[in-house]
Amino acid sequence: MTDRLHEPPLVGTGSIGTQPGMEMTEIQAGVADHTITTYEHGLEVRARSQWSYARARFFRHRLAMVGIVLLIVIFVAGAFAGQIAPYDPTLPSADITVSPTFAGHHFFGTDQIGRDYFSRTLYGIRATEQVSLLVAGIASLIGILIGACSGYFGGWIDNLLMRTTDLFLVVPALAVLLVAAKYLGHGSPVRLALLLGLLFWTNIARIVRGSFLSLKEKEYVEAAKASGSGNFRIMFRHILPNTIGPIVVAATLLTGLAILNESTISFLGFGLDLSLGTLIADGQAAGLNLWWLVTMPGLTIVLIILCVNFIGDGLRDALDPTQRRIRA
Amino acid sequence: MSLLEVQHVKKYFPVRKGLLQREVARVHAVDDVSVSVQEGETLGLVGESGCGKSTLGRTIVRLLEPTDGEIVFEGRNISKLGAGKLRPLRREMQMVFQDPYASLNPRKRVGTIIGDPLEIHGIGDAKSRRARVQELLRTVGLSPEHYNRFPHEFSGGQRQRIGVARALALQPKLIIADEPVSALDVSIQSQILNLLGDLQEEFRLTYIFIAHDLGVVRHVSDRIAVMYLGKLVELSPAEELYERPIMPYTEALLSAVPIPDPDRAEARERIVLTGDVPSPIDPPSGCRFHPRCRYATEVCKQVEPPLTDYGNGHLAACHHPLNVDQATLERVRAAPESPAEADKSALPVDSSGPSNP
Ligand SMILES: Nc1ncnc2c1ncn2[C@@H]1O[C@H](COP(=O)(O)OP(=O)(O)O)[C@@H](O)[C@H]1O
Ligand code: SF4
Ligand SMILES: [Mg+2]
Repeated sequence: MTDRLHEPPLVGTGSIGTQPGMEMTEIQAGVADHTITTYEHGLEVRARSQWSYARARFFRHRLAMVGIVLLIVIFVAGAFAGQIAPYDPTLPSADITVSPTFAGHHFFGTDQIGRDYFSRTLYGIRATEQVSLLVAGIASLIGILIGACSGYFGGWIDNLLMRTTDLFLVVPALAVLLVAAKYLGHGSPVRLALLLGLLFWTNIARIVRGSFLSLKEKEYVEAAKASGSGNFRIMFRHILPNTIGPIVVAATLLTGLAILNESTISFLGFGLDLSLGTLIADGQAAGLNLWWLVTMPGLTIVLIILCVNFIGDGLRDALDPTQRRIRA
Repeated sequence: MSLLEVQHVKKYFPVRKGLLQREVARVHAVDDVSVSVQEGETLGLVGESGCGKSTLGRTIVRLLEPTDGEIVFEGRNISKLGAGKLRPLRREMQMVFQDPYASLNPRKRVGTIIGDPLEIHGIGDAKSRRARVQELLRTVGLSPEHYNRFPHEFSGGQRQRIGVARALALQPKLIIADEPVSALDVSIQSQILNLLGDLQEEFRLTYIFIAHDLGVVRHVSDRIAVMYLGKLVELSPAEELYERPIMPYTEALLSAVPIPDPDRAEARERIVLTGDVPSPIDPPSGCRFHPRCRYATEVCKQVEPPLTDYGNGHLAACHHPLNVDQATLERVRAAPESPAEADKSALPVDSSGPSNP
């Protein structure tokens, strides 16, 4: 029997006729064949899902790992700004224009009226992080809905939705944002996130559409139809789980884009009251003598964007189905 | 009453071009096919790749809407039913697909894949569905422990068993098996065929068994239908088709089937079909087989031969039928234009019982 080949070697025992798998073979032999048990044993070695390959590749992607660790540290610090910050971000203190120092915990220095820039940067991270994650969420939601309908239904629905997408792509996003932010979003992270999300879903929509276009032709979709699945069940239960990889990559990169845009808008004075962009704008107004007021929040943004992009790259490599090899 | 009656079914796919997506041509994938299937029988459906077998199968289970014609299932015309009315019908007809890799969702566990039809139709609660799926796994020769595995953990043959279990889940009457073994190793093929045979006995299933050659279907079919370029060109009880093909296309398909007996294999002339199947967008005039037929004459190019009944439930569409004797030919001729002279080597068709060549 071929099963033997796959069974683990039996060290120290003489019997080979009483494997646990044997009974099953007898029962199943009546129905059909012996390959089942063969595979059952082979499985323990062969069974690795696409996800586990992806996971392995991701963990070996050094920059992505560095990125994810750093980003978690930064985001957690931002989320707990209220607990971590040594000073109130808005209240002046006696230490005026202190350059970065460990004394008095003014790690990032203070400004002309004595506000602690380490505390302010932490709160800035919190605002930026809220906005960017919300943007990624909103944009993914819109992009998935539109891309899925476009790719799955095709025809005039596809035409209509894709022309709409093109329209969004040619609109000068920054101009629209500035106008809209001035009248609608000013000061509110949620409203600013909605605005950005409503502008930046197009990339995800295209990616999802492309995946749906090819996946809807798969036989497992036909099988679902033949079992009586409705369109929405097929779209979201059967096809969507197979497109998660590219969506996650796109959403990650979008997070970076959202941070940049939020900072730009805030820098230009149309965004939030306290975010990394606002801090840089304030610092710039203070002049080059107080260099740390620009540099510290600026470096924070650069670091966050770098981390996000490394993670995005790592995910892309990890989820690329053409890549079986585990990257060293 | 037959379980299924396919009446003059046509399925054309539009070919669209340009900015306005105007229809510029049509793929004649299935072109006026009529055939009926009795309860409990296996109808083999054979033809080269691209002849419209899958399209016919998909149209019958109403994954596609026929362009024309009627599909009558258990006395009910189902050819125009909408999605809502089709849903209960899905319990009666199921399909087993050709590619055991593409037909199972790679992100779903086996239990979810097989249980999905039960969930859609609201059969039982989560617990009883699980029990039912495990029973189905056992029925198709897998183990209930496979419930939580993913498709990629299985071999092709095992995957096809999962596909069969999914098709069985709703206890259908009719299963359309679209080349269920052609993607499998020869050594695995017979296991799946045996499984399908056992299931047919156990659950009184009716099969339409699609294959691209006459090798596999011989042992599983009661009757065989041969398709060429969207047309049904021959329909016959299985054994009779192998003994006495009437349509030259069938003869050519038969000559490609390996014969185990070396003497007979030696004696047989091998007819090589030259060229590819012509495009179904613009099928040849007259008999669609004429550009590749070695018996073709002028009439074949002009006149399309209708499907003609030669007795014994043996139908064929050809102006120069093979294996038909003079008497029969004088009685039935495909068309008024068809020559009245029989093939010299013809055997008497209306003899009772199986014939001896
Ligand atoms: N969805 C479709 N759209 C357009 N043409 C199709 C479609 N499905 C099948 N066809 C065409 O119809 C013909 C028959 O295909 P098919 O039924 O798959 O053949 P078979 O199963 O016999 O190999 C082929 O020429 C194929 O290209
Ligand atoms: S009708 Fe003519 S071309 Fe067609 S199969 Fe018969 S002999 Fe050949
Ligand atoms: Mg096919």
